[in-house]
Amino acid sequence: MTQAIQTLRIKKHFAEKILGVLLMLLLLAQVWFGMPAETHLIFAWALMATLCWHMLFNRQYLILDQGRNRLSHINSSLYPVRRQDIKLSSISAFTVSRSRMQRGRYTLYVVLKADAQLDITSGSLRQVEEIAQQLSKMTGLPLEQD
Amino acid sequence: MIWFGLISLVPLSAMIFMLLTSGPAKEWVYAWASPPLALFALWALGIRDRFVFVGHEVLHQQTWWRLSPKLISRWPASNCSLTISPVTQVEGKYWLSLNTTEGSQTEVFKECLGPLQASRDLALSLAAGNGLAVYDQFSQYPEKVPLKAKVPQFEAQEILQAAIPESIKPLSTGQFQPDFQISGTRVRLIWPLPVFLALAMFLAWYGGAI
Repeated sequence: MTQAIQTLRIKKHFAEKILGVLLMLLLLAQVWFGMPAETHLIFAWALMATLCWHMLFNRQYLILDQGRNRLSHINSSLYPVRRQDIKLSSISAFTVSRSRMQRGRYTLYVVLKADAQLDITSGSLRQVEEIAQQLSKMTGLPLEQD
Repeated sequence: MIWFGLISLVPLSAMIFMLLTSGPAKEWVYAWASPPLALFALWALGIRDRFVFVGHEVLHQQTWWRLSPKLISRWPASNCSLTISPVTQVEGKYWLSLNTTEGSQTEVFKECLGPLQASRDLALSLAAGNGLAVYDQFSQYPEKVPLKAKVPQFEAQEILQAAIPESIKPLSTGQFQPDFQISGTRVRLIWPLPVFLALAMFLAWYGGAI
């Protein structure tokens, strides 16, 4: 068992980056050719800019720290958004199951010994299973099928 | 009630904004709707609950902007108990709850407090003069046991000593370690929105000025 700290990036879809860049160009073009004066258009611009910001800068990664007995899931967009610190010794398994919110999407859950589930990330089945397999290889904990 | 007051501030602020910005055609809608809402906010934001531990009684009072305390209910102290339990998802935070056992067991209030030492001291000082039972739900987590503590220097020491058993152990903080901790929420994703909104308004104004 290694005592090193291992990091696992949860990769974004390629299309998300492309769309982010396109949206950024569109928003910058709007600034260049003159901003609209109407309130609702200004609001729409700000909303789109926020979306674009997250498309470009949102990053999610998992940090496995065997020495401190901790698995952290970090979500940040240049500023910290959400952070989950889970005690490694309290994890019993990982599982991939259908998302409750969206059809055709799957979610990776951490199953705790205290009979609770924490969601880590969601996406297509292939994408999520890849992360789950890497995670179970890193920690040596089983991957349960659902 | 304070939460309803805070919620009512949201439409109120929007109405005041619209009142200032909209033209004379629609103005009357906001002019008529905002005063009742403002009155409701004024009423709801001022209500505070207050618990008084006096003599051998616990009083529940309500005040409005700290005026006119109104008695809601009163219980004899022997029917009440205080419990300290951990906030399961946050380390170093504890709930202090007041329970009454009149008829059935009911929880009267629950307040989130900081470190263990402080919440323990507070519970003991509230129970000092009036023989209130204090329970500990953190050392053997789901189970409730009477709180063990050092006897503080109070005037009513003999009452305390009657209530507290002989075996006195200093507690180390961090006995209760949660399985997981979450800091921050996904709601933080909208943090850039006000910044971009300000930027867009500035840009629109700047473009218009030229």
